[in-house]
Amino acid sequence: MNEQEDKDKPVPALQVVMNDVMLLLFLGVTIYAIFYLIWGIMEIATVPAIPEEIKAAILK
Amino acid sequence: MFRTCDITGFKVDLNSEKLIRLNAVMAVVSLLLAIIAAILLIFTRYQPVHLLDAEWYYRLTTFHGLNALIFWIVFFEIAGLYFGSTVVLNQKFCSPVLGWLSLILMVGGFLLVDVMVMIGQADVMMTSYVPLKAHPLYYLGIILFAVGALLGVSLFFANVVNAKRDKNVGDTLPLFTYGLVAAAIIAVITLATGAIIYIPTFLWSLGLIDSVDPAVYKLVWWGLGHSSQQINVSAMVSIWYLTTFLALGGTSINERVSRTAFFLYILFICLASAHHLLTDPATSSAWKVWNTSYAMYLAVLASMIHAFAVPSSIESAQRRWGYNKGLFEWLAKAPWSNPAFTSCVLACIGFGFIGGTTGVIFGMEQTNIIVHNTLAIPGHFKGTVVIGTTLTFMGITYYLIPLIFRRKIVAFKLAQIQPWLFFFGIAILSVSMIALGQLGVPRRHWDSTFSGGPFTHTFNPSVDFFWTLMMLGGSLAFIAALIWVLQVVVSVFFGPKVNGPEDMQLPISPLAPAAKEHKGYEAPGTLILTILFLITFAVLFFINWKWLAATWWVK
Repeated sequence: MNEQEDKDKPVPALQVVMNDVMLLLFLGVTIYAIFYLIWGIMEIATVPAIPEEIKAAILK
Repeated sequence: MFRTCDITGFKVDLNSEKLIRLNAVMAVVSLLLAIIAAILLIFTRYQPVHLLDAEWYYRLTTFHGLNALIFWIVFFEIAGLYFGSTVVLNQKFCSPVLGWLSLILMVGGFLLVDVMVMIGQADVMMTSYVPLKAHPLYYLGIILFAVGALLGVSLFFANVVNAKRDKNVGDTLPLFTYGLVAAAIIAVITLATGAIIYIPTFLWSLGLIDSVDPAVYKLVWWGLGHSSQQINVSAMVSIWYLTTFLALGGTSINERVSRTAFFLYILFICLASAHHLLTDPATSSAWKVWNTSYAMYLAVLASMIHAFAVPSSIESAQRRWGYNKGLFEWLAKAPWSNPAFTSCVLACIGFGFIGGTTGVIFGMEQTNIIVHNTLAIPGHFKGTVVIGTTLTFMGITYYLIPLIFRRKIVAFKLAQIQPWLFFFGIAILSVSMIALGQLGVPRRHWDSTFSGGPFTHTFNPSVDFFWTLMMLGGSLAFIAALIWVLQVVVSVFFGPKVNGPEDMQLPISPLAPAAKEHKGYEAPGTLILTILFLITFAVLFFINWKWLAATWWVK
């Protein structure tokens, strides 16, 4: 296969993604933000508050 | 303004060269501070000496952590990013003014943080978990450093985009620069996370907001603390590929697979930050297991790919140079007199066998419980960040001194043994710390005999042996690191000038000849070594699960 035929071959989709620096940046930030940060903070935020009587008993 | 390198043929932008030099100098200064603190800490934890009092122990632990894990590494990485995006791509530095601003911010932050720690205004350890509170200038220093580093990373991206625009590079970047792109993306994640948590903490230290939630702080902080070490992993692996290319003319036997491995790093490696919250009650097992196991194993897969690709690129190149006898002639006749190559190979071995295996085992929710908050954890990251990243950075510096600083390496014979000394020192230190942690010795503890405390504990008597081993390994590593620092400083400031290729002490190899037709595996020796690694990993994995099963009775 000569060089011209190589150039004419369509570039595989994954390679297009992997060559696009800004798209990589977007994907890296988004996956991390969703799975680590947002999911984690949501779980912490939904931990129920300690009942006042238990808190008072601990602090006594 | 450019100069054409008479050794590599690269066009070197003089502005970029100056910024690379200054960032590299700051990295060496940071490492020197870190190792001075380290040796004092080792002789404090080594009970027969117990050098420092409690206050200075915690102060210097803070100081050591910041200088070793943040300043040394990030300054060096910024130098590496500028090198990879300008020199390697024959590209002009996009904005020298912003490059200087980045450096000034980083140096300002570095000075503020180190001064505040040393005058006792920030005895909060590197993690500075709230409600521990430091002086506002400490937090400001971290923020300034992070902003400067983020600016440096942005300049790297701008250089890469400009290089594509100017057709200095095609759509596909060289593998080394591609690895640096992965490092830079991880750096953006890391530094942005740092801003998310340090800005409110700074405001809290000023009294402008009432409190910062400790659980949220810890979760977000580790997005900075752990991910920053993943920048290292990506940069380190990139340098392994570069060193193979420089020393042997070798390239990955399948670049597409190596690039895919970097792609997996970008997508998944930062999720590993959840390792640090495995015993925290606020997040669910689903969050922990997804982040530290399912998703994280895709990043582990990437490391396994590199662990095969780097040695196989060495073997393949060596075989093409004619070292074909048996399984391991390529290894026996490798350029061991080249300290950059030696550092790269030793870093790869140490990172895989010590740091990598323990990283996966300690990173699982189940087996983590055996070692959480014990000395095994810093033992693990001595096996990753120190034996892996630091040794790799030390090694590539042996190329940077003649190519960027244009100086010969003084006392070159010493440079040839320094990587071995450092490797064995850190390996002994790391394995001893892991053993101590497995025996229950806590980390971040001034006095593990608990003298004068309301509680006491009798450790297994073998801990005395491992403490001694740790002290000896640490001392050896300290001497080796000091040799490297002195050698770099003396070479850069007083070394003879490099006037051309004839002054290069480390050879730069032409591209290895094309492979001949052959049957079977291209790198059979590497295959055997990889199987050996997998057996070691399986044995350690089994031991830890067995250990977990024997820890207590579940009724």
